[in-house]
Amino acid sequence: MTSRRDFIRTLTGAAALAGFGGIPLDVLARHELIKLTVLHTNDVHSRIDPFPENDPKYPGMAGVERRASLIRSIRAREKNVLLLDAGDIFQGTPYFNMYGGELELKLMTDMGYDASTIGNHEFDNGIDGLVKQLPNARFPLLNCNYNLADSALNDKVLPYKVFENGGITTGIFGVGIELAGLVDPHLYGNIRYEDPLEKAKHMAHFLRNEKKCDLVICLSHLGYKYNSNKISDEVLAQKTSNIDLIVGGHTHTFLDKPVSFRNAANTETLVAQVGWAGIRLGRVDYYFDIRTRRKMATGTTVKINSKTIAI
Amino acid sequence: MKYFIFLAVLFTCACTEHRVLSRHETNEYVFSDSTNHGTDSLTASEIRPYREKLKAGMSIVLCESTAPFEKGRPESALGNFVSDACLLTGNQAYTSSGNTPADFAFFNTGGLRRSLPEGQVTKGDVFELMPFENQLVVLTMNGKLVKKLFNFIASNGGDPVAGVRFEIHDQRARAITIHGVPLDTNAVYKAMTSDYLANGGDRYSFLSEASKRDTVKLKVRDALIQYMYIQGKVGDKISPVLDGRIKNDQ
Repeated sequence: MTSRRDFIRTLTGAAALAGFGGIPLDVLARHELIKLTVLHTNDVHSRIDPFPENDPKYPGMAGVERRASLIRSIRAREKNVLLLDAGDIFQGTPYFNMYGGELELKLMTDMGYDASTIGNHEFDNGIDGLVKQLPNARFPLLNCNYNLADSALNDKVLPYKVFENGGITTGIFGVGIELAGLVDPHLYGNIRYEDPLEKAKHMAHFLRNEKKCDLVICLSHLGYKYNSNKISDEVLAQKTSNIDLIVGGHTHTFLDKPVSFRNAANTETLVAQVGWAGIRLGRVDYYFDIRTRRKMATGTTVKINSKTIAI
Repeated sequence: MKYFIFLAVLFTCACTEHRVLSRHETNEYVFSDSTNHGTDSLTASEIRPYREKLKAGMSIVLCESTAPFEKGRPESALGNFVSDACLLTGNQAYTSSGNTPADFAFFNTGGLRRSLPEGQVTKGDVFELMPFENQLVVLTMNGKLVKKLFNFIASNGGDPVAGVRFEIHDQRARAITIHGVPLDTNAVYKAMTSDYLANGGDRYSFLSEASKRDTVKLKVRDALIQYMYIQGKVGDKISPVLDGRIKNDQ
């Protein structure tokens, strides 16, 4: 069971994330701790069935049935769970060509997803194609930097949502990638892209200070990082304050555990991303001191395979 | 057969100088083969009717391959295969309506969405390689625009091309030949690509400088399916080919 050994190594690495704003844990331990488990996926791309066994890269991996089972197991053990996705739910297997995203959204609803954001491939059947499928999602799509006022998505997408789990208030908002030069213009119509950095700064400040959130999470489809100066999660993490966790997507980046950045307020912002296709489920556990509201986090990922689920 | 996984949450932190607190919570997740408890039965029953309807069409075997095809730069077996097959099959459709054929083809690496397996290749595999509904188009462009195009591809580190060879030097294309003839910047060429790129997708906005655009009444995916179907019919296996059409000049 080398997987178990690998797992311990991963965890040790995760514990080494212990920047954690320099909170003395013995202080935390004296008070009651509330645990909140954040589970996340990104760029699942209609991967409902596992990859075929003859796939050169990911033989037998992924699959919604196994992910649903894993999430059910985690829910049985954890009282407070948030299940999030960072976009590109659509496109990649014939399920999308044939059913237009209906099954993807139904299954995410069944698994109890709390929120997702809009990835560029959500527009692959045009705005109308997305609007048509939205009734199948009983969870919100969050985005604060697409101006949807002149599109059929107006009032169908929320900029943010606040969740209460066991006394912990979590504010979640979403940011999306620039569509020009990426998505065929006739597919995204009158959606106007606005600066995600400025919008994120504003939104995070609002959620922390106005909505008094203990935890602020950004669902981002900007991409993890680029060689150019294009806005990315790496830039967003360092140039904003008040974001605790960025659940990212778009670049299909496999991060074994969340990456820790010093943000503009010199506190910690974590960036997580779990590749694509539902090959892995990301997990970040937050522990809150109920009295001081201070927190710490550990993060890891779970690989979803045909025969084993290994770390 | 059962498989075990231990999901532990582990605190080890020496946050203050002299005191260390550690705490372990260990959870055990048990999964077995997909036929048993490793899958969620409610989810399975929700998927089943959708899957059954798909299966009939998607499990059709088009042809066989001798080895896996994967994508990469500067050239790749998958990129070479897709662009060669599209240039050939696309030109058959394009010339049947009286046009002169396209000279070369180019596509984007990001548009190749899955590797092709060794052995039987199904219609479903091709849908996953090329899930988009993109149409083939032929752009007429002068030699200067062709040079700009290959410089752009060189700056990407190489992308799928057919009918052309060049070297990448300092992120620019040099020693460009089209069907073995050096590029003439005063000549006019025809290039086959997808409508997605022709519309400016993946930062190809400069393709609007093309002097003419013809639509080939064939989707990129259907061109691949047709090509593989014919290979299968005549009993030829497809094989990955790297022929140095794009080389890094070091």
